[in-house]
Amino acid sequence: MFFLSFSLFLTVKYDSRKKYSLFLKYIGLYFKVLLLIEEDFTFLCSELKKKEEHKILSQIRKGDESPIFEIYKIFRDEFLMYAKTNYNSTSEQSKDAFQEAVIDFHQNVISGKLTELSSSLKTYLFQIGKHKLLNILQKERRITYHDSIHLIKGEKATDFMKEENRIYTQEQINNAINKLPEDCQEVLKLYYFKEFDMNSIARDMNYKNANTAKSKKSVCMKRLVAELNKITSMIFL
Amino acid sequence: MGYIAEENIDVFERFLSGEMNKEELASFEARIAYDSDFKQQLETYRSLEKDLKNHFREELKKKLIKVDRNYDESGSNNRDWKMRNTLVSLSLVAVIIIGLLIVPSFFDSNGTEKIVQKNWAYDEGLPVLMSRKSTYDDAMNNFKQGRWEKTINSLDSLTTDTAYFYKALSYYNLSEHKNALSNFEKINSSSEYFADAQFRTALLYLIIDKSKGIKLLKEIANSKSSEAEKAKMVIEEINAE
Repeated sequence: MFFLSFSLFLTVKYDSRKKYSLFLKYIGLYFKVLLLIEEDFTFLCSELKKKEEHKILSQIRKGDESPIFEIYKIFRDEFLMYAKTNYNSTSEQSKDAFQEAVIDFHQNVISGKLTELSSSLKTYLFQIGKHKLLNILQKERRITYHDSIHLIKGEKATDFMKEENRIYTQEQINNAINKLPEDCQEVLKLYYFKEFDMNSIARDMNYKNANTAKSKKSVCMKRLVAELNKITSMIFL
Repeated sequence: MGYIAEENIDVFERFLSGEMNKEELASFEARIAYDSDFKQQLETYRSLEKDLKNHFREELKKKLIKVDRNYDESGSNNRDWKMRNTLVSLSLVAVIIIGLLIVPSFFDSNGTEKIVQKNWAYDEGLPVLMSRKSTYDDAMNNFKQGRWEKTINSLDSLTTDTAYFYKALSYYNLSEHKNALSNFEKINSSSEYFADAQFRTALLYLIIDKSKGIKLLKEIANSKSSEAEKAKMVIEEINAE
């Protein structure tokens, strides 16, 4: 495009000095455009940026996960650099923190905690990411420092005790869910993770109405519990 | 025990979703108070709902980890490609800009030189009379025969306006524009050669420093110089270029 317009430009019969000054202006504009098109999101101005962020929140609320993958790709490298510079974290720690931050962002939008961004999306993500990173760094410091569980005080010990008292472990729950039919997995995901109401679930799953969706969800929970009880009873056999 | 009995799931769901009426709720709460196993099952069910969320959260995290891995593998290639693309584009633009700064000066100078040549009036030199000997005879003989270096050598010892004028013309013919300029600029303003020298000086500046040349031409055009009309014509020719 540039060379085409440049060729056209050369054919214009201007005084050479005028052609010069016009061309220099043209080059300046080209540079600006070149730098702009290198961004993934073309945030040309703050109004456009706001519209894009609003669109992202709307998509997430509708159950679309794809915006968060795009957001992750856009801001990840910058967060890694920020984390390394400010906290001397490893790449793995920073990635873990940023993934958690993006998921938290997703959950806050879903649950209605976040309806509108008062700061930029990047600022919001980096704030959460920073706290996640600090938690990771603190946790890892405690684990590496204390080699015996008896010496660990505070949250780690409490978490350990809670884990001991659980009827169903997370791993058992994960396995049980994976054994459910796909439509059950989807209904439970829509209800518990995406926090859809029954009308939305009915619409999404093509059920007759909200009551049908509610019955389906109840059936799926019973199947899940049955599966869990089967798994846990096998331990004692 | 805490393991959820399937027959209790419906009532747990009704309780947790707030669908119970007053009687149901009262009965339910009474049961929780006396039946510790029932109470524990309810707690387990609540916990299960949270754990369901965690499961799907972990699922989403696994997807993000996959995105991360793919991004590192193909993303860096894309970034390299993008960076290369940007560098190549910027380099090309830089080359074009530099080219435009240099090349047009050649085109322009060729065009301008033609204008200068066209307006550089031919001077046949001073007459060489056989009847009497003149200081300039040798120089003029060489000048008329196009022997420019010899003309310059012949006039070198002289410090007259005439000598400067013809030395300047000779230097111009040798394409030594700066030497030509320096000789024209030595000519006195009261000299008969001054107007001509001033005009030719402006023409020379068109080649060496175009903007200065145009400025001088404009000064001549606006003055009462005998070369004013010529200067105006040259300005018009440059503007039309």
